[in-house]
Order: sequence, then C-alpha cells, then structure tokens
Amino acid sequence: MFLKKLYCYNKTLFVVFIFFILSFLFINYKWGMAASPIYLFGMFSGPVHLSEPQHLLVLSANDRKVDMSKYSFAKKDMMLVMPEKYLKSKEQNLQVYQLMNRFFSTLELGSLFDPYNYMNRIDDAGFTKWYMHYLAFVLEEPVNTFELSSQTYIWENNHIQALGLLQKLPFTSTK
Amino acid sequence: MHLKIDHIKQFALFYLICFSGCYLWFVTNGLLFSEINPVFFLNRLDFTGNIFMLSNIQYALIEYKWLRVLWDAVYLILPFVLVYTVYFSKKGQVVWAIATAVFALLYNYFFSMMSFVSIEGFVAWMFVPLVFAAKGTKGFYFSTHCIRILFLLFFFTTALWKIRSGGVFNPDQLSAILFKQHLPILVAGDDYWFSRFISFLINHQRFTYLIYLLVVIIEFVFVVGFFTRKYDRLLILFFCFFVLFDYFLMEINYFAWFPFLGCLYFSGLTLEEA
Repeated sequence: MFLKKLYCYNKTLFVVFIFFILSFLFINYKWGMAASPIYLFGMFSGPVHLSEPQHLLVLSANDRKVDMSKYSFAKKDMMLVMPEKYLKSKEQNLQVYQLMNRFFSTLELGSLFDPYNYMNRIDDAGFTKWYMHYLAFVLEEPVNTFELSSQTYIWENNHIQALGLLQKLPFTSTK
Repeated sequence: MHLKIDHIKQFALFYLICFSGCYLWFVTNGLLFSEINPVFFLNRLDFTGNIFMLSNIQYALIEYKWLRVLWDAVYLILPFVLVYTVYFSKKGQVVWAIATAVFALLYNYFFSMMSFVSIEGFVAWMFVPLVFAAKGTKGFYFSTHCIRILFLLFFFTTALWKIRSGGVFNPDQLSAILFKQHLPILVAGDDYWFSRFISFLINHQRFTYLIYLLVVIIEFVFVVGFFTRKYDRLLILFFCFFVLFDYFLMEINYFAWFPFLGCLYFSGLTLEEA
C-alpha cells in the first residue's frame, strides 16, 4: 500500500500529506471558507434553470456598441466581468473582512486585522479611468467615451429575449 | 519498467512546455499584472489568502509598475530555473522547487483577486513543482505519487460537488449554464456559427443533459485511480476530453491543469529495489 511505503520512506512527508488530505476533506465538507492552496472545486455544481433571468453588461465605446463576438473570451470577460467585480468589491470586501476578523478574533489574532488593509482605495472615477485605458488596449483605438448598462435577458420560445429597460452603471464616462 | 533519472528529466521538460504554453496564452490575451495594471481587488473567504494580505502586497502591486513587471518576470523565470537545475542536476533543486510552488501560490492568489480568472485553474503550478522537491528516483517516486493522489482527489470531488449541490439532478442544467456563460455571444445575434451552435444546444435540453451527465461520470471515474494505477493512461484521455470540452464549449481554460498528467503518465514506473 502506497501510504505504508510513504510512512517508511519519510515520516514527515507522510504526516504533511495526510494533514493536507484531511484539511482538504474538512474544508470541502464545511463548504464555506477556502485556505489556499486548498480550494473547493464546485464550479457549475449548483442547479441553474433555463427559466432564470440572466444579467449582462452592454458596452458602448466611442458611441458604438462593442460587438463581443469579435474578441477572445479572455478579453470579453475582462471587459464585462471587471466592472461587475468592482461593484461587487464594495460590499464583499467589507463582508469578508468582518467574517475573517470574527474568525481570527476567536484565535486571539483579531488585532492583526485592520479594515484599512482589506478595502479598495479607489473610487468610481479611478475605476472609470482604468477601464477607459483597458478598453483602449483591447479595442486598439483611443476611447473618448464609453457607456455601460445592465440588461436582463430570458430564454423564451427557443430564443433570447430582452426583459425590461437598460440600467446605466455609475461609472459611465463622457468626455 | 524501472524509474530512471531520464524520466524525471522528461517530466521536468513536460512541465516547462505546459507552463510556457499557458504563459504565452496569458500574454497574448493581455492577462499579466503588467498588462492589466490593476486598480482594485475583490477579496474572498480564504483563510491563508487573508493572511497573505496582511503584507499589503495587494496595494504595492496596484501602486508600483516595476513590482508588477518584476512579479510577471519572476513567475516566468522560476520554472525555467527549476527545470535547468533538474535537467543538469545542479545544486539547489529542492530550494528552487519550493520557491517556484510558493511564488506560484502568491502570484496566482493576487492575480485572481485582481482579474476575472479563478484561482482553481492554477493549482497545478502550486503543486507540480513539488514533484522536483525530492532528490533522486526514490524521492521523485513518492512525490509524484503524492501529487497524483491530490490531483485525483481534486478532480473526483468536482463530481461529488455536482451530486451534493444537486446540479446533476437538474435536467436543464447544461442548457442553463450555456445560456448564462455565452450571453454576450447570444445577444450578438445568429450571424455567428458559434452563436447558432449554442442556441441549438440550449434548445435540446435532453442532449445537453446527457453531455453534463457524461462529464460528471468522467469526473467520478477518477476514483478508480485511488485503488489502481492500471487505468492511468485512460484517465489521461478522459482528462484531455474534459479540458477540450471546457475550452471549446464552455470557454474555460483548464489547460493549466495539464502538468498533473505527468503524474499519471509516470505512475506505472517502479523503483529499482522494489
């Protein structure tokens, strides 16, 4: 048996290996916090239904709608996911800090955690400036104006259909 | 067949080719710190990750261009140095292996916070260098098998997650995932063959459910690797199918998991004294 051989070869390695496996199983069983390099590989595992509405950011640059099908999925995701991630960070970073602080306080390490270390130090204007630079890099042209809006879509009668009105995002820029 | 030093060299080369290919993909897609020039991060519930953040590296990476360039460079250079020490039996192999794994962990943790990519896609860069942290054929044998078991565990649990969360019991699971995943393409219209192809799949829920079920079965089948190494070559084939499926149908890049396959490929070799 491999584990028996491993124990005979190197007891320290054996202990580290068993500890890692047990930690992995425990973290996955608890289903919440990860502990790098131990992760939860649960992507696309929860039920998703076709009847559920989905949200998408619609991007216009230099008064033209950006055709996402022209770009690699990595660039497309950078253009569309990053604004969502930025907006999400405003709430999530604080929530994660509060949870981590509570967790580390139980280990008497709460004093190490200063909220200032866990919050972003830019505002919407800072993000807008960065996003315009990034768009210029991907679109390979100077970007003077851009507009980001959120649109809801549903899958109905074998086709995609827009639902409701476009919702403009806070960092739309016009020069 | 007995394990020889040449096999370690072959694995090292395989690891380097995989790493170089992935790094090139990231460069061409503008996915390096120095290309993104991040200005914010999204924190998540990660015990060790939040300890890394006590160092305030996240702010230094946002503020200093030279640091971003340095991190990109070190991330690229370390695997080359490691493979050089392995290939030419130079001193410091153990130190370079551990340094490569630890730096990959830090680099990818912060990079995933500041970009859209998920950290789960990078685990191979954190674990596979550790295969070379043990010297000689005996050390390589044990480290390769340890990483092999971890890989099997990671992959097998993806199937368990789908059972536990209930995705596998949902008949329109893959159709709904495709709708969610390819929304920008679907909105662009039916002028593109890929958009028409995805629409076709979404509308054939029984067919897509069978694909989803097949993927879960493939992931589940990896449990066999805990009991025997006889089917490791077959598992390699299954994994290649999974990665290609993920890349072309889901637009998710799991090629960065390829180095794990070296552990399956060399698992059949025995130690000379055994």
